[in-house]
Parts: sequence; structure tokens; C-alpha cells
Amino acid sequence: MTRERRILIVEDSDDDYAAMMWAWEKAQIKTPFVRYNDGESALEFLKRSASESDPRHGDLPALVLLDLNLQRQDGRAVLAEIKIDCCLKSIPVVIMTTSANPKDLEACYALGANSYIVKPFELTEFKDTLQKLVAYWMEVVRLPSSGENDANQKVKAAVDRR
Amino acid sequence: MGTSAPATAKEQKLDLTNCDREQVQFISAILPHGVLIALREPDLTILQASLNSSELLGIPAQQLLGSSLATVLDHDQFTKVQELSHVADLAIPQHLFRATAGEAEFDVLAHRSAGVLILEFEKRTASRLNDQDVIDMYSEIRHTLARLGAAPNVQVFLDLAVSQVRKLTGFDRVMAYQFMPDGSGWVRAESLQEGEGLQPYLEQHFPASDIPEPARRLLTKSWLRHQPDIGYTAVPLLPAGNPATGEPLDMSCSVLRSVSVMYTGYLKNLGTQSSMVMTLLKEGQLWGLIACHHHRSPRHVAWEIRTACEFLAHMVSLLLSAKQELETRDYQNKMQSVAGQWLNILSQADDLCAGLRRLCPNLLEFVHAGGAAVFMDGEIEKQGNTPSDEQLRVLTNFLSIDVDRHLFATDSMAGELPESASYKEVASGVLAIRLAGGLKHFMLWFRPEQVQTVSWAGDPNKPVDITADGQRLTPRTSFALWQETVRLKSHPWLDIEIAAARDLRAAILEFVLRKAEKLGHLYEQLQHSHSELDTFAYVASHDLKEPLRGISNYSKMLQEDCGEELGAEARARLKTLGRLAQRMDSLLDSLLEYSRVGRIGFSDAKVNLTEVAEDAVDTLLMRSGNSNVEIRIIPDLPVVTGDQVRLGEVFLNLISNSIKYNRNEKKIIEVGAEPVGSGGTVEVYVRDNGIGIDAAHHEQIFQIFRRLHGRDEFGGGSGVGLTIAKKIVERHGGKIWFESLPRVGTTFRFTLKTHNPT
Repeated sequence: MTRERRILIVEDSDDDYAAMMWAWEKAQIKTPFVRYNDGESALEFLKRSASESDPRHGDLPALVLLDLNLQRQDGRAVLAEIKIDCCLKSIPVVIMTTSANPKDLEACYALGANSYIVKPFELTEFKDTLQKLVAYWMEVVRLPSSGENDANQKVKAAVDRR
Repeated sequence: MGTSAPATAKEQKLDLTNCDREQVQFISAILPHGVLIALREPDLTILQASLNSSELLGIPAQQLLGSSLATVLDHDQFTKVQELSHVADLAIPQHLFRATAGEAEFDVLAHRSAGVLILEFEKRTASRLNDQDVIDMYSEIRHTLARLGAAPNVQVFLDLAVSQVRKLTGFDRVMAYQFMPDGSGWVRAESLQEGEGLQPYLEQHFPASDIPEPARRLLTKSWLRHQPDIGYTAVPLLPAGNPATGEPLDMSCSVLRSVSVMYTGYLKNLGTQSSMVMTLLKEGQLWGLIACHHHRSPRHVAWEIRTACEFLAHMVSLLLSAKQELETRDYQNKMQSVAGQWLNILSQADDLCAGLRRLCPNLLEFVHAGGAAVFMDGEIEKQGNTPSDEQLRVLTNFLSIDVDRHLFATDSMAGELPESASYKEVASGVLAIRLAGGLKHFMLWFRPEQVQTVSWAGDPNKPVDITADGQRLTPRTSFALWQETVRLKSHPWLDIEIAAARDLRAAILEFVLRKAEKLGHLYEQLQHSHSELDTFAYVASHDLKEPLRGISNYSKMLQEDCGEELGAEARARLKTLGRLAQRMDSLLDSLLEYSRVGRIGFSDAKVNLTEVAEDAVDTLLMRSGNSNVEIRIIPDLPVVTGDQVRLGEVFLNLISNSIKYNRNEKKIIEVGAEPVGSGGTVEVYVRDNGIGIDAAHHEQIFQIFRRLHGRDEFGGGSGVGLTIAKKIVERHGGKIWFESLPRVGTTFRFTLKTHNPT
């Protein structure tokens, strides 16, 4: 069964999520998405999706939109875990944050973030940004398929056996 | 002495040190007013006798030699002398008995020298003393002792001692004479017979050579020596040496010992006919003399009175130490209590310099000095007679050369720093303490040149006259007051003064250290609360941003989704709500930026200000695209130490303000720099021809979020630019300020440290 691949949104603020949904709608983005409001459950979802034994296997998202300021586990930690997991690391992770701090920016790229976006304060601007972002990642670029993820898994299995 | 060949004598420094080689104790001759007999114990065979024995005792010396003492004494007297063989310690002459020979009466004194028993028969020529006289004399001495004990200082003490000795002995002149460290003598006290036209010697100095080394050595061996008649003819001993050994008799302690011709010559030149000298010891060391001279006639002082005088000299010696100690202790206590008061004052002051300034009016209370100064890294406070500020600067520079030299004391500054001779009148003597290691902080005291204060009894450099034929040295004859001008020297600093200065320095340093510790602690606390404040500002503004964003978002959604239903007024209000939220967001951004400047570490690199200024100008011109702006950067701005990025922000903020607050057709901005002070610091300026800043607002200009103009005038702004610029400059250890005239322009200035490659 092939479903259209989804975007994983990790956002803990319901207000920000509401604004995002509003912009999503206004921008007429058709790509399906799934939202998790904390880092732990998002990671758990990602790991389950990557596991062969799980019924949801193969349901890995095409893109992760990750907020940095999360409750408990911080966005940077979530990013780091994704980027060291050989089954997950090829999924592009786009950081969406209110922090314009150069230190945050540098740290995220160093951890393997694929993009770093400072959320525009103005909602209309935010809508435009979101529109461009989704268009770029879902239409302009080519992303690795689930099959390539399978290849990764085979490498991992081989490594595990040794 | 007196035997040197003339040629040698001329080559030598001509003084009485020639006497230093004369061994007076082996003179083998005696004064004529007594007879000396040297005996072998225990059989009391006569070994040597003075040639005048026939004249005084009626038996020729020749006849005495080899015979028993029994030929001179009666049985009882002989037995008394025999009994001396049981007395082990007989180094100092002891009175044995009185003996008579014909008309003459003798005091018979015995002592032992190098195993030989010496009997001296001293003829009593003075007026007889009866028992009542002796009792009166001792009660007088007891009274004197009580008064000596009560004397409040050394001067009163010595004055009393000399007047009492004169009262006891009847000499024309009695002096207390102190040996100075250079060996010269100083007449500290004098009692003089009035009405005889005698020239006073009080306060005069006598050269060291006046009392040569052998004489000084003998002074420590016996407490009193007396020459009743200076014009005497010495009587030789027969034979000159011990018949058994051939050795001359050691007469060091002999009462009748003859003295050097040099000495009698000296006394004669002083006009003295009779002399008596008592030794003053302080803690076992020769301190000085009590010297008695009689000018009118020879004078023989009876043994009893001499003993009383000797006793007095003993007591003076014992008390002298205590008196001097008392004086010293009083002075020490005074210095200590002043130092204590000073530390108290210092401890109430905010810092060392402030404290030192408050001490200045009292600087001279500490030690005896003519002037004093405090030098605080260039700032000078003075009291009394001191060198000028410029001279003090040179002096302290000299004192700073050796950083390890914390204490400096000299009585001849010109010997250390020749140019100081120009202010010798106020500061030939300098006592200085250095108060801080790194900084040039000094406390100094000055003593004037000690001119005309040394009154020599005659020219001290010519103590010896050469007779007309140039063959013989004779003791100097000129004792007329000869004032030597001692150049470029002050009264020396006493050991206790130097020690007190050293203690004062240590106490002040300890105070400085304690203060520094306290400050360090405060600084740490301040740093901590500062960084907490920065963290607070960061977290607060970060957390404030989120709800603000919600407000903005929902107002936008309402406008977009329900705009039709709300009507025009409500829509406008929603729009305003969004705009307010947006401005608050930008204020929070500024606050975040400001707190970041406080938190982040600054680098400490070499920064070329020309490059930094050019970069800032490029960025600004690119941003504004203004063609009516002319920014001139004066070539070759200095190279400084700092953080390139942050210094760039300072230029950005200052230059953008210059552009923003300017209504001119042609906006002209100039960036330049000038060195300030002794180097190490540069002053950078950014000058514009803008609207200027009203003096009423000068205080507020650097305050955060302080805006002097309407929000939308001059292109708006968050009001944080100058606050950030100030913080960056201050974190570089510099200062920022400005000069401004409304409608003429503003010049912002800030200081930075020039780059030092080491």
C-alpha cells in the first residue's frame, strides 16, 4: 500500500499550532501531516515507523518540521536523536523557531538540521514562508524513498549481526 | 708615636691615629704623686719599684729590689698584703689601708696584673676629709641618685650628672661627652666654673682622633683615671721589665700609670692643668665620658671622692640605658599611636587614595621631619617644607626604579640622586615608603640640610700641628669654635624611625589587601547578580514573545476570517492590536540583543578600526541607499584591542543615528581618532551635522528604550542602539560620551585601548 507521504509537525504550543493550521489552510497546502506536541512522542512515532516488525512500518514522514522550544525534551535533543539514528537520519529536518540567536542556528546546523527558519512574527508572512517551504521540500527537491530507507535498514541489520 | 720619619709623616693623614700604635699600658712609668711596687706572690719579694721610692718612702728603689715587702710595711700591714694571696679576683685596685712614711700619708691600693701583685702608695695631698665629711658626701650622693632616677629625659639626666660631679670634685669644668657612630665626640652637657672666663665646650664636636683607639680601649678597662698635675714628670720603674721574664709590666688598671705625652700635650693645649675622666658604658659598650678639667691649678682628688665619683659614673651608666630607652620608647609609642590613628582614618575611607588625602594635614606628626608628602600615582599632597611637585615626580621616579625597594632612608639624598642637591635646603634627608606594588604610591618625609650645626672644637681635619722643623707631630692647639658646614647631609634617620616607617607600610599594605579582598568579594557578587539579570532579561523576553505571537496571530485570523462581520471600526482596532503586538515584539528583540551583549564573551584580538568603520559604513549605505549621505573616515584609524564584531556594532549604532537624526540636505558624518594621555588609550569620535541633542536630555540619552522623538519620527527605532553601544564600549574598559549643540551637530566619543603586541 502506498500512501502519500506525510509531514511530521513537532509543535508543543497549541496557539502556534492553531496559527500554523490557519496558515496551512490559507496557503492551500494539500500535503497531509501528523502533529506531535512533545519530543518524546514524536521520536517514538518515528522509531515505530522505522521498525520492520511494526504494523506502521514504512510510514516514515517525508519531512519533519521541528520547533526548538519544547517542554521536557528540547528540540535540539530531538534533532540530535534523529540525526544519529541510521534509519531516520536521511529524513530532512526543518527547524522552525522564534529564536534568532546565532548560537541556536549554528548548533542546529552542526547537529545536522537541513534548514533553519525563524518564524516571521506577522501571520501573513508566516503563511508565505510555510507555503514556500512545503513547495520546496515536497515539489522541488527529490527525497529518498521508503525503499532507500529499507536499504538503510539492511545496512543496519548487517552491522548488528557483526 | 713621634718616631715616624718626616717624609712618612707627610704622606700619612696627619692625625693622632699614629698614637693608635702606642701601647700606653706598657709605659713602665708612673705619675709622681705615689710609689708603685710590683711583687712576686706569695713570698712578696719586690720585683720592680718606681724610682721615687727614696723620695716618698725613704728607701731607694735599688735597695728595694729583691728584698721582702716587709722592709716597707709594718707587721700588720704586711700580713694584710699576705692575705691577698687568698683573694683570686683582684683585677681592680682595692684600698688596703693607710700608711705613713715620715710626714706623708698614703692610700695603699693593691691589684693584680698578669700574675704580678701591684701595690700603689698614693700620697694624700688633698685636704683631709673627716668622718663627717664622708657621711655628708654619701648622703649627697644618695640624694643625687634619687634625682637622677627621676630625670625625665637624657638631657636633664646628663646636666644633673655633670653638675653633681663638679660639686663633689670642685673641678673648673665637668663635661658629659658622647661618642658618635663615626667616633667623634659631642659635648652633651657641661658644668663650668663661673667668673674664670672659661670658654664653654657645650655642643661642640671633637674629632675621633682626639681620643685614639688605645686610649678608648683602656677607657673600657677602668672606670676612672686621674692626672692631678698635667705638668708632671713621669717616674720610671726600676727595672723597666719584670726581672724574671723581661716583660714590661701591664699597667692597664694601675691608678698611678703615666699617660702618653700626646695626651698630656693635648690637655695642655686645652689649657688644662689637672684632669679626671670617668667612663660611661651603655649596655657594656663605651657610650661616652664624664671628663673633668681644672684650669687654674693642678688638683688632686682624694681617693674617697674618686670612689664616690666612680660610683656615680656606674649609676649614670646603669640609668643611661633606661633613660635612653624611655626616650626611645616614648618616641616609638608616639609613632605607633599616630600610625594607629592613621589606619583608623584609612579604614573609614572608600579607598587608599581617599584615605591618604585625609591623612595629609597630619603627616608631620609621625616622625621628626621638616616636610612630608604623599604621592599617589602623580597626585601630590604636601605638608611643611618639601621639594616642588616636579621635583617630587623626579624623586619618586627614581624611587620606583627598584620595585623591590619598599623602604628608602638616606641622610644624603644628593649621594643617591645628584640633581636633588638643588632642593637640599628642604630634603637632604629622605625617608620614603612605597605603598602599593604596581602603582606609584609613596609616603615621604624630608629633613633639611644640616648646615652650621656641627661646631667643632677646632678644625677636625687638622687635629695635629706640625712643628716648625716639620719633624714632630704635636696635638692640635686650636680649639676655638670652628663651625664646619656639613654639606648635603641631614640629621640621620634613627633606627626606630625607619622601623616605625616599615611597620606603618606593612599595616597600610595589609589594610589595602583586606580592602581588595572585600572589593573582590563584592565584585564577584555583582558579577553574579549581573549575569542573573542578563539571564532573566533573556528568558523573560523569550517567554514573553510566545503569548505575544499568539495575540498577533489571533488578531490577524479574526481580521481575515471575520472581517466582513466585524465592521470597519472593529477591523481597525484589530489592526492596531496587531501593530502594537508587533512593536512589543521588536522591543523584546532589542532587549534580547542587549542582554546578549552582556552575556556573551568578548574576544580580545587585534582590531583594525579602519576596516571596522569601513564595514559599518558599507552595511549602512547598502541598507539606506542614501545618496545624500557623505561619510568620511579619517585615514589610518588606530589598531586597538577588542572584539571586532561588537566594535562594528558600536559604529553601526552611532553612524546610523547620525544619519537618522539629520534633516540636512547633505548629511556629513566624520569618523576619526586621537590618542589621549600617556598612551595606551585612543579616543574615537563620530561627528555629524545632525539635529543635535538638547542639553536637557543629555542624561537620558544612553538609557534603554529612551527615545527623544516621536515613535515614527526619524524612521523610528527601538531606543536600544546607544545603550548597546555604551555597554560594548564599557565592556572594552572604555568610556563613551558626547558633545552636542542643537541644530549644529553631535560628536560621540569613546575610548579604547590601543593594541599592544606584547
